[in-house]
Amino acid sequence: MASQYIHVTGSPILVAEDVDGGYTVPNRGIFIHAVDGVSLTLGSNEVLGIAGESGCGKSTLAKIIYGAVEPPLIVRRGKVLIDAGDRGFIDMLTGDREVVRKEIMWKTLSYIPQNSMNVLNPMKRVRDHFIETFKFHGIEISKKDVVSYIREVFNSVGLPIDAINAYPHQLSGGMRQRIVIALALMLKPRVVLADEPTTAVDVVTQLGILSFLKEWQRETRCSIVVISHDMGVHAYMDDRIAIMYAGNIVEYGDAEKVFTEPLHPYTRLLIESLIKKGERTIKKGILGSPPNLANPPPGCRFHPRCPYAMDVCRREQPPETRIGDNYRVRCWLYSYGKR
Amino acid sequence: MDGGILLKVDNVTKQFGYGLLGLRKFKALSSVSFELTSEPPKILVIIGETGSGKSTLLKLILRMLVPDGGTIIYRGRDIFRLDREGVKWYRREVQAVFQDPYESFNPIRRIDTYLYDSAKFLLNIGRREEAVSIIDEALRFVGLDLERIKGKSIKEFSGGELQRISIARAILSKPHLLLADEPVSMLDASLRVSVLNTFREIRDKLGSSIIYVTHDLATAYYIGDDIAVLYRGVLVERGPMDVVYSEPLHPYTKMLLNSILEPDIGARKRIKPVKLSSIEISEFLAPGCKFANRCPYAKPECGSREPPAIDIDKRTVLCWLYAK
Amino acid sequence: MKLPSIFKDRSFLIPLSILLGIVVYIIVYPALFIRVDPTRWYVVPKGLPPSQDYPFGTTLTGQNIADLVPIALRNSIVIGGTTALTSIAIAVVLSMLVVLVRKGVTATMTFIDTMCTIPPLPVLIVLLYGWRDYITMPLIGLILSIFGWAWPSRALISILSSLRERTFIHTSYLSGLPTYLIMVKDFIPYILRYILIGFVNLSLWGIGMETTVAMFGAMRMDIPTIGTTLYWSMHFQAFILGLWWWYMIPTLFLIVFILSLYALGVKLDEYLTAGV
Repeated sequence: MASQYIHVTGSPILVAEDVDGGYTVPNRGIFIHAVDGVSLTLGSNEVLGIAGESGCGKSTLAKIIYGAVEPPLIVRRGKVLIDAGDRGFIDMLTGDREVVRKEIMWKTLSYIPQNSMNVLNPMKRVRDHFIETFKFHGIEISKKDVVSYIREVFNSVGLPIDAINAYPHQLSGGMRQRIVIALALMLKPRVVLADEPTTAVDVVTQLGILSFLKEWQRETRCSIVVISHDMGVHAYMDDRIAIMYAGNIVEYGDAEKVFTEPLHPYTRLLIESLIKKGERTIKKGILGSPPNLANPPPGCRFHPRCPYAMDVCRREQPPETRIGDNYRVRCWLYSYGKR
Repeated sequence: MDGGILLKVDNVTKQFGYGLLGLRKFKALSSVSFELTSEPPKILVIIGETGSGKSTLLKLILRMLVPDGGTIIYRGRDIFRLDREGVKWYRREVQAVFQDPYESFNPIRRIDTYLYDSAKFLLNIGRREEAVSIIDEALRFVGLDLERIKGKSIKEFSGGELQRISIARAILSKPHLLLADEPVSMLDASLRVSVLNTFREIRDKLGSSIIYVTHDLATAYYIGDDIAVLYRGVLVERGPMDVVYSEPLHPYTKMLLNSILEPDIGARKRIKPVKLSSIEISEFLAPGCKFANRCPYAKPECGSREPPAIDIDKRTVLCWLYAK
Repeated sequence: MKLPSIFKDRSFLIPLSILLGIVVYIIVYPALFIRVDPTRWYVVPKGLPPSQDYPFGTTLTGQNIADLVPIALRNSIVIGGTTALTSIAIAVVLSMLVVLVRKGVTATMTFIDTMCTIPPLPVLIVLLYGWRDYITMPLIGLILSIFGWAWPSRALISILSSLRERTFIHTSYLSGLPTYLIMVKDFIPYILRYILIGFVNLSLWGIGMETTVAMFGAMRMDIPTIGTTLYWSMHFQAFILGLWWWYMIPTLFLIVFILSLYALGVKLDEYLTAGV
């Protein structure tokens, strides 16, 4: 199995294999092809970023990885394999629901959603969220230990300890987001899926949260998948990064390389259009807009906006080309001779 | 006109109630003062995070709220003492663009009605045929045209297009002052630049001054001529962008600049850890400097007395570190 | 002119036809077919089950139910309709004023909450019984609306308060729109659905209240309404004696009317808010 995938430091802990899916619009026969044959690998003790703008499919991919697949979202093919320790690799998509819910979720794989209110029950106090999660996963733990865990984590993310007794609506958005993160990390999962974890918070809070996550990752040696449209977040967090456009991963490899020498035209334009600190020169954006995934253009999905588009780009979708051991790019510019 | 000063915010304070009956008060804005000149037109960026009071400040300038202390003078006139004609004049002169392009328009209405309404009520152009050329001109300024948006509802447009339509509506009356509340934060990164460039053009080609509110410092530097930093209702530092950016004086400004996450992998090592806060009322009620509990340079007096405004080298900063 | 799409929807057409059928029954039938004043007692043979001559049977008070029902239903509907109209009118005006002026919102809400907690039934019984000599159908409706306006006002004030803070209201304000136009163009389309639902609910509440009060004997008992009819049926032990047609048929008509009106309201609401 390992030979098919990118070589990662440490053994792979989460593998997405040719995942293809999207949203069906009932009565209309339309299929929004949000995730188009995506494969990626997450090693242990690393941070993988999935970057892309709105409509690129990264949130859909996150839902599929997390196993939150319900209509109108359907998965047409593919596997999401997670290393469940003694049980070997379990496919999140086809595995036994009970096992997945009790053993995988929160314990092995945890999810930090974008909107904190999706997770917090407005009827329960904060401390009850923690206590009940422990209980649900059959973990015997004294209230004292729960409180001391909470105390520790709250301190690191700058939450006042009396927030424990509050109801979610009494706290600000930034505080709720931090509580959700504390909840997700409670059972020390090996994989954390963070979906736009700092979109709704201020820049200083963002730094606090991200630096906390980094510290956490370093200490527990877990793996984090950071999904975000903010390239600044990726530059700060990622070891490796996957750039998504219109449902495909167009570039995938070591973060430093992707940022300093982007290969795919979209990555290049994206990085160039970002405003860096201390920059004043007039920048150019990317012309056009992302394609309609219900009716994507033929060939390479980026070709209508690509300054380097060739004839073949308009006809056929480029394959994934391996560049070295650790890098992949999906572009005809690099697939010469492979047509 | 009052000596070339377009807008003068003079010691403005605004209180809100909290608690069970709303009887206890906290100050969302404390004695905020700054000026905006009209020649040459400038873009003033107001940097503020959640709880800074930036939305309150915008609403006050737009006359949607009334201050509890101080006043606001626009082109020599007190905006809270205008007669009916004065109010109409003010609405032509001062316009705004908001953060969420989808929320800026009522989904039940057709989008061009907003433009026709503005032409009718701000410029007294009641007949549609007469308004067409002005509306088309404004739309072309932002890269669109009337044909493209005629009769359509907001669902048919992308966020970027809606925001541009919002800007077109705002510049219809050729305002001298345009307020923008995080206008690009809800747009994709690749679309932001073109909208930001539009603001520059508004300053250069229309001669309007712009107050641009954001929490994104990179954008602020890209677009701002001057900068004012708001923290918990206090304007802690203000001055020309270049100077404040390269040599921030106030510890909070320093913390903000440090927290910018650039899309530049080398920057990782330069970022220092921060101390986080919660937005609790207690932070607003604390005596002395509001930033004292998070400030790495805090001295005893910071927690008890509010720092005075000190002018240093083209900037004004409110911090005990710089007092003689 | 093209018919709006709602007319093609069966779940709209069915309740609509039922309602129209009932309307015909209560308006056309009495005008054409009633020979004898159905409110007079002991006119027809007492206590007969439904038959060819008397399709809905007769009561022990000698009334023809087939003639009685349209009158009774009509009166009940007038009461309900008046209640709804008056209550909604008060609620809309009050809530718009309060939200626009912004002062005294809390005080008004407290007053409304108080009105909501006062149990209406005892008060209504006293009022209606006390004034039963001067009573007319619309007047009953007005009296009922003393309590009817409270709840919709509360709902409308909440809705309008949050609506007022929405960004597109700021856009309208900045476009120079005068206050009344903001109300018409931005507020009303949003509260239209609540007004509609409120109207349906209040009509039903009004009818229900009237029925209840009548069953307590607090109305003028010689005026036929669904409530008084039920009162007399109970008074004459129709239940025990097995004269099911006396109480079931009027009640059935009421229920069918209520359900159709409700279904219509739901469909209309769906249709009006399809775009949002």
